[in-house]
Amino acid sequence: MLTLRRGEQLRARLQALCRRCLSAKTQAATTTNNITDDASEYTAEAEYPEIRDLSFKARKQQSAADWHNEIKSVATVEEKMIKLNMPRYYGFKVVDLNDNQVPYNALPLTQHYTRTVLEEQPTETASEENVKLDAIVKAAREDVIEALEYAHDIYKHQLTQLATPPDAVQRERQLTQIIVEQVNRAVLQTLSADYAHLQQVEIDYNPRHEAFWAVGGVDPPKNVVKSKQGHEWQKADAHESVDRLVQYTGEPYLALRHRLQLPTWRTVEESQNLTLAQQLPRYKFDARTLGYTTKHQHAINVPGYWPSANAPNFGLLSFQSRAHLQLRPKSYGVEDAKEALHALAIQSSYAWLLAQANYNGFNTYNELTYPLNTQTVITNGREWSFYSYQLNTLLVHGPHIDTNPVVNFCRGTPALPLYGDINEAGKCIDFNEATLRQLLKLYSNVPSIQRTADELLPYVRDGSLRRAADYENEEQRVFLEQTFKHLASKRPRHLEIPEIYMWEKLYKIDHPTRSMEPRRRFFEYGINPWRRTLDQHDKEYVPRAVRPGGKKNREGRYKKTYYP
Amino acid sequence: MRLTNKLYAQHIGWHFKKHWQVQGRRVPKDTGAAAELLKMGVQVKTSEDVLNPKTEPKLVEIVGASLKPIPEDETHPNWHSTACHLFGDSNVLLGGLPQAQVLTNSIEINEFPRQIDEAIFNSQLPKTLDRSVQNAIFSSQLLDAQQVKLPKIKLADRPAYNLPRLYGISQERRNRLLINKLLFEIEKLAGRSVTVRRKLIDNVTFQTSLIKDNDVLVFKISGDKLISSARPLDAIKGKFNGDLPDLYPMKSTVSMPKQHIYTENTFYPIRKDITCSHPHTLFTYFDKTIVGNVHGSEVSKTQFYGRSLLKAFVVAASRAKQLGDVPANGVLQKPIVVQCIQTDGQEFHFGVLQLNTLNLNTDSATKNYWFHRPSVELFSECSYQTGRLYLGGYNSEAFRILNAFYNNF
Amino acid sequence: MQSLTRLLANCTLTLHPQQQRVVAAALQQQQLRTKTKYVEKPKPGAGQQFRRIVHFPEEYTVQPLKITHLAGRDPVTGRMVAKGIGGGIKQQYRWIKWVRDGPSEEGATQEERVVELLRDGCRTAKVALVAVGDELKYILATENMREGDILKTSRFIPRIPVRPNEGDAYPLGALPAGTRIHCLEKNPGQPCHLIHAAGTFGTILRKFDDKVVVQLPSKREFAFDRTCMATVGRLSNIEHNKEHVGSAQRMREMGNRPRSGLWKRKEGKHGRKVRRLPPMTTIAPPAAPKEQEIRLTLNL
Repeated sequence: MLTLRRGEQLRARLQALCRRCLSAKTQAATTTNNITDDASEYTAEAEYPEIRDLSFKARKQQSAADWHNEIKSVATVEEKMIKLNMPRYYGFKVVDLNDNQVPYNALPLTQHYTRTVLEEQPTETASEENVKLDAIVKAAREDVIEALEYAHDIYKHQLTQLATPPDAVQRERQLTQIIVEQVNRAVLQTLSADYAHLQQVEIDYNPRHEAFWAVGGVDPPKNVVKSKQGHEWQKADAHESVDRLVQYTGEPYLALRHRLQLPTWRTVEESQNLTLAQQLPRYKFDARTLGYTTKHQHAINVPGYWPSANAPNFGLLSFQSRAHLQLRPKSYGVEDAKEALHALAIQSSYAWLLAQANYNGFNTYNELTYPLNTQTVITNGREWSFYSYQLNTLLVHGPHIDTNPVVNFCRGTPALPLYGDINEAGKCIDFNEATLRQLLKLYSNVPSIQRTADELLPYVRDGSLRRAADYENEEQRVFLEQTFKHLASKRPRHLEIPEIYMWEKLYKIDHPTRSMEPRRRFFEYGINPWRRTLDQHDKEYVPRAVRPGGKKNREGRYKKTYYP
Repeated sequence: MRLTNKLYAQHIGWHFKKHWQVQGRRVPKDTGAAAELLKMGVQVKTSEDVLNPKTEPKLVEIVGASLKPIPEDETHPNWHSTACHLFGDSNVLLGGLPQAQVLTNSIEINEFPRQIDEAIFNSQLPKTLDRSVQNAIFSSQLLDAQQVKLPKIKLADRPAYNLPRLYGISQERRNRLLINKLLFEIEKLAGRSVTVRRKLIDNVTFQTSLIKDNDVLVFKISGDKLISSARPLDAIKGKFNGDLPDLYPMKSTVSMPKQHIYTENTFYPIRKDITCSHPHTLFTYFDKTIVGNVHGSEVSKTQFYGRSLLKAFVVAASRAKQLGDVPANGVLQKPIVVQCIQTDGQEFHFGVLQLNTLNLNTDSATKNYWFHRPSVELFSECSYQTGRLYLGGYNSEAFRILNAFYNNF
Repeated sequence: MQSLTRLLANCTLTLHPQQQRVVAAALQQQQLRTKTKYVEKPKPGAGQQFRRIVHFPEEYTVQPLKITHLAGRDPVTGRMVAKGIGGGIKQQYRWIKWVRDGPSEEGATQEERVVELLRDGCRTAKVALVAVGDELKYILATENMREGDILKTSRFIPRIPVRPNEGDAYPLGALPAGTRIHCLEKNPGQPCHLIHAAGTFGTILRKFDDKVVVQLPSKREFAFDRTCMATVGRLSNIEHNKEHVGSAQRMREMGNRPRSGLWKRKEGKHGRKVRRLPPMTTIAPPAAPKEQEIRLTLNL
């Protein structure tokens, strides 16, 4: 049986108990003195509470801030992710970002939505590490060439067996998957001896990367404008920017994770630059104008695995697919093709880092307390682009889009060929060592930043209660695990959302002519089904035979829910 | 009621209807007229030929129409008049291991070759390894984030009851991740000197056809993972005697589906000239929903073992045919040794096949050797229990044997 | 109807044209209303079951076959024929090879091996998977049949009757009197086999001429041809008729709809009738196939 955290848990709980005991004692000490010392209630200078702005907009901002604080004060990581979804039973309307679609002119939108500054890769300086890297490149060269030739040969040979060959996108995906796995194996077997961190790395094969965030500074869609124009007191604000919700879904070829974090390459001072932030491109039109689609879905944040203690929680390297870029028309041009690769890198890096941050208690409404780093490779087997990403801030919604001084950074290379071609005999021609060097640089980046558990997860209850599995109450544990996984599964709800029939829209809403009909429909009670919260459902019935407390126990009729 | 003329007259319409129901059905008697006319040489046509003559529809060429599927009858290019006996991924032999032995002319030896036994016995694995393997099991069985609909679970004693449909990691992904992670641990232990001589490849197919006692056997299988090595495995030293089991009254080809459309090609996934092309170890997955008996019963242990033997045999036979040096009597100059590991994620069955001869006839003197041991469970239960990860019945034996197999030269 | 037509035909000249049209319309309506569709429905109890249709492939196979429920309806006309059938769990049908063929030379027998005993949801008796050579087939399992048994089949009738083992198949003439048999061919070569319910058996009573008298499970005696093949033994699942259904839900799972329960004591049709057994009947040779009839109909 694997109950390895038990000892640590008990120790942490004991410490928390002691702390509470001590604080209770000090409180008791102060209260006992109350009767004798009246002066402690009074101070020399008058201390007034904060004067609140009572205008409509300020009240709205205050309620939003209260909601964000509510999420911050939730005890565990999974509960925070469930809390994000509490306002909507049927899910949010989100813009669908994925790795199968990068439309024309996607880079400004991606930079706006992720608050990223795109930089060029800096030139290399002659240093000790570079000399070491040269030696490693020489050692790894033969292995990598052999791996490439092997991968190509196998795939070509396998294709001869198929009656109908797959389409171009499928072919690229399958071939690149084999190449990436073979090259990864070859590189790891060469570098493991010199770099110990590669022995503790966790490899994910085709993991599921999903992330959800809110972006501000987007023009409101027509229905919002019309709705606001319909009310006198909102007419003036009809064209004010609104928040758009974004959900990224991706499936990279390979992802490597480690327990420790990668070192940062931008300091805190460099990251806080308001002028740089305000110079970032803004795409204020609706994302649908570019070709993105929207869908209704719960907010899902998954970096490829479920949360557990001691898991390697920080991303080292991910290999993204560019197979669907083949489907883009050539009329988009060469520049846009290059920008599409950058956009793909930025959105996939940001999303993976956001998902990792969610597993540490941060989310799109609660700011990071330390930066996160990752490395991304976009490849089709022959052409490789290398990117590094530093995530400094998550606040891009509401007023933060204009006022947040912190920015994220991404630097990368253009698409570099690893080899020229594979000839008829299966031999690799024009192997490019520079590209291999870049790849090995990413692998040799040692993750060295280690933070204490308290520093890593600042917004959870305490050392004894970080994740749902830490709860002592069995029922609560089971409920939270099942609810979290159910939300992440994108399962449709069993019953359809209540519908307003055409004739009802005509004769009951638009032109109410049925005065004698009793008002019993949901919209006549003022219920908006889209505003149904996650906990508005009938509770599960517990049959008498299974009821805790016996057959006659009326209190145990319904299963308890533990929504945060 | 008095049946009078008037009563009959009243109901005459009904009577006509009833009479017509009888008289409306007549069997035409053959008067012999058609035969006489034919004798006289007069052409005889039926009414159908005149009223609804058979016309062939004109074939219209439509550009961009989808390809018509080739009908599977005598006109198919791969049609043969003698049916072949097929063995594929989803088949399992009815007679289990004894039938597989007779089919592949192999004798069963209930232990591993000596060098593997020694490797298992002498293996010194670090203490942290158990922890790493358990983490690998958790991350492949429970912690991966894929959520697809899992197959329906039916209870045998309550056939009408529908259990809630579960979402989770699919069986094939669980197997793939587990094997990848276990191999990663093994390669870390083995070091570069061994790993540079091995190559891993996923989803390969093997195809070969052989003749046994005037039956054509066609094997077309896929290996879920193949470890190929730079040097072929050495032949196992030692003399092994044994007899083939008697299957009377069944033939060795029972429960192998028969097909008339087949090809007699041989396909080995790696070309001869590549450095790491020798088959070293084959991993196959056993999925209950894909692999099963023809008559729908569950697969028994001996059938599970027989499948390992057959898969190893197909790999070795297709390699032998690819290399090409097979004399007329079928006995190979250099025996081909192939290791096979079959798993369903929990149970592991390890086996080693030494292919000495491709002559499968009953009168063949040389036999092939199949070394195996009963299957080992890596764990008995791995699930979320009351919201926490749980692993029960963990057995490190399976990993030790896997390690020994990988490092075998 | 015809008389009304004749009556009204005499009156039409005296009517107003408007009234005439109304009458004509009424007549039209009357004519259409009295024309009903004549449908020939089969009657239950003649040997055809209206519970399910099995989708038989062209060639014999051991794979479980899919069925569709009929719910008591005639598959040809779609009309309800048998009440009380409907619903139930969809079972899978196993295609039994009824004909036990064997060599007809003296002393030669075909040996088959029982591989597995299975339950079939579409019949009460158990089913045995049997392998011989390359072939796999299903036969009905007998009471004491076990996995690994060897069964013999032969079509030869020796002078002295054979001492048969359970599960073997011989012609009636080869078996001694007093043998319990099942799966009995009605006429040699006719694909109609009797006695296949769980726990049933027929008994060979006596032989005369080239006929053999067998007592069937209904206690009636019939004279069969001595070359008809029969399998020796009592069918498996002998406790079947003693099993209780247990609940209304189980009855529905078996595919039987609720019964009305109406019983009138004085109607005379309810209840078991105790009668004398009719004398022994000789089984007639199989009826000649019906010739194809032409339907002379006009749709007026």
